[in-house]
Amino acid sequence: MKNLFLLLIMLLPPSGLYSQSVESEVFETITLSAGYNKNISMGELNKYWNADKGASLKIESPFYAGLLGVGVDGQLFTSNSLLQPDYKSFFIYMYWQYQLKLLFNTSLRAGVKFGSYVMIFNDVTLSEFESNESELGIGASFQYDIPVSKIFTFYVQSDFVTVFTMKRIKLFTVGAGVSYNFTSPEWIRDILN
Amino acid sequence: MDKGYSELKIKFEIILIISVFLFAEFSAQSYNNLNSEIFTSEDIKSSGIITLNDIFDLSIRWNKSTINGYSNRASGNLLSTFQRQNFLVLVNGQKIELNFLDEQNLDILPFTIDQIDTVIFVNTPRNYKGFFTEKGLIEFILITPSKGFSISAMESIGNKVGDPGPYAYTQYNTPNIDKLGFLTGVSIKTKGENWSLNSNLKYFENFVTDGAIKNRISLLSDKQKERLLGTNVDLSYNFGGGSHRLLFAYSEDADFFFFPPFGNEVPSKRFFRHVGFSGNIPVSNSLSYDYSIIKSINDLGRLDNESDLGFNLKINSTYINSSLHFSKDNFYSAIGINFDKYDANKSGLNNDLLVNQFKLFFDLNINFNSGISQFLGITLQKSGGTNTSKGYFITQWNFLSKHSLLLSASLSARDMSEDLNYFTWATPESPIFENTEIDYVDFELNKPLKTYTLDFTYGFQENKNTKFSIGGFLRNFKNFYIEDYVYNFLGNDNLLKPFGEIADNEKLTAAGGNFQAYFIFPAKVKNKIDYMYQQYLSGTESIINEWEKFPRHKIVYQLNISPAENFGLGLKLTYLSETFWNEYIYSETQSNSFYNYRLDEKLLLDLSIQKSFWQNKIWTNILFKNIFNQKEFYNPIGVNLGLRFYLIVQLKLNSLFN
Repeated sequence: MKNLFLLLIMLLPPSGLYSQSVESEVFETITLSAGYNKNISMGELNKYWNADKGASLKIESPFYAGLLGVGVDGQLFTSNSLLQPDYKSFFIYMYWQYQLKLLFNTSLRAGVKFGSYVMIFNDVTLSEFESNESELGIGASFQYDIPVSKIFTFYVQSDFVTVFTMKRIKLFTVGAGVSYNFTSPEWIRDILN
Repeated sequence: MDKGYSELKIKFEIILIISVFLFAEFSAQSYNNLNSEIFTSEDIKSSGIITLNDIFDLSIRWNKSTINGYSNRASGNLLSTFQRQNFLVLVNGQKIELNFLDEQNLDILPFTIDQIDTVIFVNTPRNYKGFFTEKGLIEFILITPSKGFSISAMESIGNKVGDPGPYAYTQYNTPNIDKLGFLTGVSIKTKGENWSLNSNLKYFENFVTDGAIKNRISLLSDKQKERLLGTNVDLSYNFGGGSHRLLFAYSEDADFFFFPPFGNEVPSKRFFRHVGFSGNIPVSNSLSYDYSIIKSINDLGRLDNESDLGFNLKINSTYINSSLHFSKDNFYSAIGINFDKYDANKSGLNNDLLVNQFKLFFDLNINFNSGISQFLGITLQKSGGTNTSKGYFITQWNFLSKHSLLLSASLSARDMSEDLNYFTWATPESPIFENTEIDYVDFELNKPLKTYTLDFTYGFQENKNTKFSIGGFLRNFKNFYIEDYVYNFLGNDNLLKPFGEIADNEKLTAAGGNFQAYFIFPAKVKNKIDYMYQQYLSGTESIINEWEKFPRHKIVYQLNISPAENFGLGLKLTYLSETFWNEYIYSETQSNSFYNYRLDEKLLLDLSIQKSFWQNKIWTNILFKNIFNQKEFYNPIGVNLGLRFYLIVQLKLNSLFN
């Protein structure tokens, strides 16, 4: 929790903080995001695995008081010993975030995300059916947006996700990426509504 | 006749006589919906219902028990114990012979929940469309096709929490838990000027991964999942002022059939076939003729052909109904005859076993101007050579424009052959299942089973968005038979071994009350509160033990928020008090509390997030069940459902190429 507050303070503009909620018409715009992720901590599992490369893809749109989106975070985990196989995870999720507009057109968001946390173990002793496992993941997500042009935004983000295995997995992940924002075509708005 | 029962009968007759003589003026009344709970497709969507077996969750008056997590045993409004599954099931007015050896798996019906327009629960004994609803009735009214050509589909996938994940490779390894399967349904409909055609295809798959059932099943079969495939075609045609319907249905279900005298699951494959022709013909403005002819085949065979373990029983049933209905102004009456023939064919018998049932029924409804409606009906029946009769009386009084009072009483006698369970079909020469030490074969009852019911409800309705009701009920059963088994868990092979006998001459009196409120507050937030209390007052030991499987208190609070037309949130909080399953009292210590005869009270919270897309052509629901991840057992030897989440998607493309 202390880390979270430190992170938030670092992200806030140094002077004259002002904020307002950002409200747009439902599904008026669409934002596509791609970024690099790195798992910083996974609790007890740090003893057995190291987080390797990670990436995230997201698509989102304004939805009443906030932003609604879906995304997928992929992450490779390398084993520290021969007793544990390497595995990759894909967190396929939906999220909702409330957005506060800050100084210099930047904005800060906070919200919730949930979805299916899929783990694929590189274990040759198991059948394909057995080597895949999925579990519910629920967490909080934070993002700081810095617009670099009318359509492109640079962002940094952090997530705290709990995976509901019998012994819970607590994941703390940070990342950065670029978003591309455009007005929703009429036909997409028709489908979303 | 014992003293208590005589007193109840006298009270019933007094109520009947007083009611008949008190009122004598006319007004209008809806006959079929009387004393029923009606749930629309919107109710189903907002209630977190996924499969047809979840339908019981719609009504607080229905209790359910499940071992495998998807098929249930149910009790409608405390009209029976979980042992007997004689509630009736209709689809668009046609009787469906789903009950097979006291299991009634609604998912064998070959359609998915998105095809339901309305579900009707008839909760008290009465005549309903020619059937006496002694143990309750559920009718599914399916969606009427739109003009032109329509396609719809549904997909549901789910997951349950608590798997080991990467910890499986560490010192924190735990067993795998139940894996939830998926459900797929596709429907094609078309409608012309005077006809419509509706066809469905359904596929359902579930896995046996929860330790509670896997330990047993893995010893009995090398199969690890249930597979259900069903299809139906429903043709309706309007002709001569009446409507006529031809319904074909076929399902096959590879499953693990829990057989109480065996104490474990029997790997089985069930086939269900139905052909029904029904309709009505207007004779004059006030007289109409209804008919139906239905042929069903239920076949329960072995899942593993090489295995010695299994059933081999096929039941052909034929049902013919013919009735006349007279309706004029404030008067309605009906008279009809039903004929049911059940023909059981099994290995080891040269001749088939037959049960024939003849029924003659009569209904009368008079609506009085003072807001009072009275309903009276009787069914005379001959089943298995025994004559029985069943009757009911209902008074409904609407007064001061917003108030109503409903009083319902029934008295029914039932021959054991009407139950059509393993006691009906097993003979000492040819039991339907051999791997059991329980003597369920040589069993006979000489006296009819008697049931007396009394229900009353006071209702207040300010408008359609603000209403509440409060009521009470009394149940009295006499001459009942109960399977009085105790299960031992010996641990050598993880199987349960029953011993015991069939207890007869069982009797019980139970009573309870219920309360329901519905209101919108604040704007766009719908609130519904249901409470039900029940308690047995007196009775014999074996049937009391069965009664203790019902929670004494049930509370359901449902909240639905619709901030926009195509977006909604739903919360459902359910409280169920503890239940006791005394047949597992020794298994608890023998299994080191792996199986517990007492199921703790539960507080379950469900959350659903619903969004429609593409002008309501696509509907999605993300559903979290049991968010607090409480222990959620509905049978001591069953799966723990726990926290699970589902994604449900429904697609509806109506009136294409029109």
